Amino acid sequence: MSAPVVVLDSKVLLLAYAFPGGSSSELLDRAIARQITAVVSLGTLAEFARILTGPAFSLPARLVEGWVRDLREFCEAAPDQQPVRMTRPRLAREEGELISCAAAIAAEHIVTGERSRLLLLGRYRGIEIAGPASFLRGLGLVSLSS
Amino acid sequence: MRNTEVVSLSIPKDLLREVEDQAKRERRSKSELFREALRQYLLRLRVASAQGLIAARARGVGLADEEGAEALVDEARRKSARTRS
Repeated sequence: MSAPVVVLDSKVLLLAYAFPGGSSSELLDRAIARQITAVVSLGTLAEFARILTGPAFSLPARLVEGWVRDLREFCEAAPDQQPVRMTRPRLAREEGELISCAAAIAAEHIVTGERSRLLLLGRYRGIEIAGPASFLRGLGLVSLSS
Repeated sequence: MRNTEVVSLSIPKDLLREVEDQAKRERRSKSELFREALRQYLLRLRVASAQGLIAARARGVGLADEEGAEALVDEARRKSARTRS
């Protein structure tokens, strides 16, 4: 059975790195073990790097670039797409881009933060949208942190 | 020029048998399995090291929970939208 194709957003990436041992962190582990095919858009990687080098974290760019290179070893990078526009829920540009990226590569899942507005959609053109813990549960992969 | 090098290593017989069985199941060579295992091991170490630094920085700036981290991303997006408009 082939590994499910899952698009991750920058919330999940930040949660995975800032809260090791949580469900998002476990997603990275599953991606390294190739139990899921994790995909991140170039825009998501850039946003993740911007947040880590930005005022809140102020981490050195050189260090963050290395982490992004590592991420690309176990996550496939997808090109950016024009964002899907929606008013209900009203999406941020980055959320619209995430959905269009997932649609363009025919992903089966989008995993975003547990408090993301995207979760209100539940599904978009057959792509299931879930938080990290419920995604792992849905796949029968037990989330140790929940 | 070859960019691989042949190395010899000693491993317990039962572990080797397990590797051979797994290689058969996956229809891959033992070498491929060893390479994959080493890559994953080193990658996990690097990811864990990054997690340690980022988690420490998150605690340092008072980012106590996942809700706060998501709010930080939302705020960064709002700022970026204001810059664009």
